[in-house]
Amino acid sequence: MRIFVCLGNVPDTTTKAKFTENNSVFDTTGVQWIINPWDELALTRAIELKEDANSSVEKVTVITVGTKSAEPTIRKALAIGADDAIRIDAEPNDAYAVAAQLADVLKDEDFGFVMCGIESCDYNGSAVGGMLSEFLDLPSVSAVAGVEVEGEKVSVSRTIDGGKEIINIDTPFIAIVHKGISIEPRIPAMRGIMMARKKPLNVVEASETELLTDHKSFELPQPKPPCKMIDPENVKELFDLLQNEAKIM
Amino acid sequence: MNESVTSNKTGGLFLLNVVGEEPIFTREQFSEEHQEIEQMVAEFSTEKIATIIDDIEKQDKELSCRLLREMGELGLLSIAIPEKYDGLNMDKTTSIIVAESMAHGHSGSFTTTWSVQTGIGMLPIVWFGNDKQKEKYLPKLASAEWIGAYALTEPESGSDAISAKTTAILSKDGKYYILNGEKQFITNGGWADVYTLFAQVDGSKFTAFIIDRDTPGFEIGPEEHKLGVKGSSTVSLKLNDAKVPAENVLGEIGGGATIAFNALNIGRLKLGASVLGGSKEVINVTIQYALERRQFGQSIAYFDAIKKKIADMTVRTYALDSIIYRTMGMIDQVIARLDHDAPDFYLKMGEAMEHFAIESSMVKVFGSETLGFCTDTGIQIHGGYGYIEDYPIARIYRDTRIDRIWEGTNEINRQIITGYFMKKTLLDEIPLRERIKNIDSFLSSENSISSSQLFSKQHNMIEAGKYLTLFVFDEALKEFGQDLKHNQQLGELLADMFLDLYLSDSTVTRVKQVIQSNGQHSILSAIAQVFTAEMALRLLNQSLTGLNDIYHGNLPESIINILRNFQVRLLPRSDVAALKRQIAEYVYLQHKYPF
Ligand SMILES: Cc1cc2nc3c(=O)[nH]c(=O)nc-3n(C[C@H](O)[C@H](O)[C@H](O)COP(=O)(O)OP(=O)(O)OC[C@H]3O[C@@H](n4cnc5c(N)ncnc54)[C@H](O)[C@@H]3O)c2cc1C
Repeated sequence: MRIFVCLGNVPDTTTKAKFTENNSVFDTTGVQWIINPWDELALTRAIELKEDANSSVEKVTVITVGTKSAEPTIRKALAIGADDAIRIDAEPNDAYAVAAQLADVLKDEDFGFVMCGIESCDYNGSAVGGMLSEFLDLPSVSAVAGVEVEGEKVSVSRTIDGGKEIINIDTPFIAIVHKGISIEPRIPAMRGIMMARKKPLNVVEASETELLTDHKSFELPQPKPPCKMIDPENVKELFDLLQNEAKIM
Repeated sequence: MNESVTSNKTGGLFLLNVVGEEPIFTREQFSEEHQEIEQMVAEFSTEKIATIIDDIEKQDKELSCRLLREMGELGLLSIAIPEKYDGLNMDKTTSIIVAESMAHGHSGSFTTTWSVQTGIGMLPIVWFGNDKQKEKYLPKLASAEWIGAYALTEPESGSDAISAKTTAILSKDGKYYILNGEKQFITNGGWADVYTLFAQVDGSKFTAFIIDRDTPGFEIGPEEHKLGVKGSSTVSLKLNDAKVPAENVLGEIGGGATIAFNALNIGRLKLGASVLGGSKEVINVTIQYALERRQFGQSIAYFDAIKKKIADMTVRTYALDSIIYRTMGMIDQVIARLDHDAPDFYLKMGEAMEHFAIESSMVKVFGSETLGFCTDTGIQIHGGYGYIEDYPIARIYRDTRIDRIWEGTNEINRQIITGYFMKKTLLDEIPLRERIKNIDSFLSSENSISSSQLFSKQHNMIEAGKYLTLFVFDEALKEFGQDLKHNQQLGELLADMFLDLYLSDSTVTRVKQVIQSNGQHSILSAIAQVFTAEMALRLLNQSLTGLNDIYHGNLPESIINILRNFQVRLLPRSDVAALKRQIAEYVYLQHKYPF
């Protein structure tokens, strides 16, 4: 069985976001790019499944919509343990375009399931997975927090209010994964980094896709007001401030 | 590595070359693989080390060994090990990139443990071990199943390491050496399984041995109470008729000095890289603090006095970065040309590294003093909070003090710098005496670089600085000859002049290379200007002190005239204070050391 893992190339989570052109374009100067954290967890689980002798998973392929600048991120995925990679050569403009382009390539591929993160930490749209399943006309399960593969049989688990739901599911399908899918991402090993250079990274042309969104502008949150320190003995002042200044009591 | 980079085959040549005449290797030329490894180590250090510093500081053997094993699994302990023994056999640049990036872990203690494991605790066996020894020890050291240590220092021999008193006498049946003596301050000593230990065979043949922890008669002393790197293990070792199998001799009988010194040369570069990473981290925590701390109604970062300090830290760190990778690039290029399968490969590699002993010692001296400077300045910027253990900088300050003492004290390393220049001059290994003959014609000439060229002012100042330094060096040699080595104040002063020239030459060349490939960069240009201006003032000051020493305070008119000539050439014409403001403000905007 082959698993596809969709990879988003996103700014490092500690990036101090800046914008240009009247706050309508994200300023990428000096930005460190990383694998979208949810996708990285999905990739980790996919590799664990490949390593598990009881599962029939034989190959893990990562797929990204992105320009050449996304290649370091893809190489990292290969260094962590993906077998090969596909880069669809286009700017990942919005969720619709990304899902359409992924679907256009995946429709011709044979796979057990496709994993994608529930959201990406750049625009947090949470839309690609659902749209992808629609485009491919395949079932999807969202908020997946666990995947097991026993031979050819696949089950997924979801965290639900007060407990856990376990679903057996026929392949192929789309797994939209949440935290918990694996415990922590893997750090690539030296050998992995060296071997990644020899693994196939296929660049495919992007299909024509309509752009349905237009970013008008971005707004940064207001800077945090200075913090007030109150003597631990002085409960009265604390109440006073909460009531009259913060007006939350 | 780019083939065109630095065809220099021996150290010290920078003193003769025209600035930027030959391209130098810098971090801007890291391969993609280098960058990925740097990133990976940063990730490991941030996630696995920085998060448990307080536990590491409790000198928890299990914890540090577990971290080492995790690094082993990632392949980070086998960079220097040949493929035949499961190693990766990568270039030296990779190993110092790892050393630099480990600084993201902020743990001087664990860096100490790691650096002995991958350096002096392992390399003597890689370089001088026979097949059987390599097979037995290297895979286990590479996985950290075994911990390594290196025991050279003794209570009565530190800097004068070769005068060690530990003795080794072959048993009558020829099967064992019987060792007696004591070793002092041995890192990893309390935890190690394997020790490379030095002793005198038959009283005078200085020799290395591999000692297993459970050797009868080998005793491990209690942990020392240290000023810093408290989480690492440092103990004394006692050998009371310790029975060491004869096959555990490492290399040749009497070959101990070569082994000891080879390990130190690469050790100095790795130490340099560690403190380079440390300096960048100190700048990062300091600017974060300075930007947040408010006094007199404003962020302290924007007080002019603080801007100067941040700029000083940044400029020095940039210069350090420039000499480390330049040096490593030259060494790697020479190593790349060697036959890696030849039986004497490691001997040749050792020789290649010794050719650059001057630069390696410079990296060690300037690196350790730069991190010392950065932590001291960083604490000053933190004010009282810098003195309190809740902030990381107090620990870093204690941890880095050892860097000026081990891997050869900075006094010893300055002697190496001047000593090798003396040797290379007297043996004509580099044609310094030829160049000195040109001083008169230099002094009567105009500046050699036309003012239309990029950094022409800096070029001309560095060229003048090189002539001035050669002039003082020549006067010193004329007065003292070989005895210059006994005039240590003059020797150190010359070492600092040589060092300043290597730094300014490398900094200006690097900035020029970056600007030539990426376009103008006013801040890099400011760094080149500041470093050169301050270098020039230091050289003038030192040459005056040195010449006064040589002439016993009675400088002849002819010497004064020469100094005046140099003074005109070296007089800075840059507004250093304004440039420092620009540098600091740029660094603040990036929120971290940005290069
Ligand atoms: C925490 C720690 C870990 C260590 N780890 C190891 C280890 O793993 N293995 C190991 O073998 N050693 C280790 N050492 C020892 C270290 O390398 C020595 O301390 C160092 O080489 C200096 O030797 P010393 O302490 O005997 O000082 P000394 O040699 O006595 O020097 C004292 C002072 O005199 C100066 N001095 C000495 N000779 C001269 C000279 N010719 N000219 C001018 N000045 C001179 C020195 O520069 C210094 O300032 C460690 C030390 C410490 C503190």
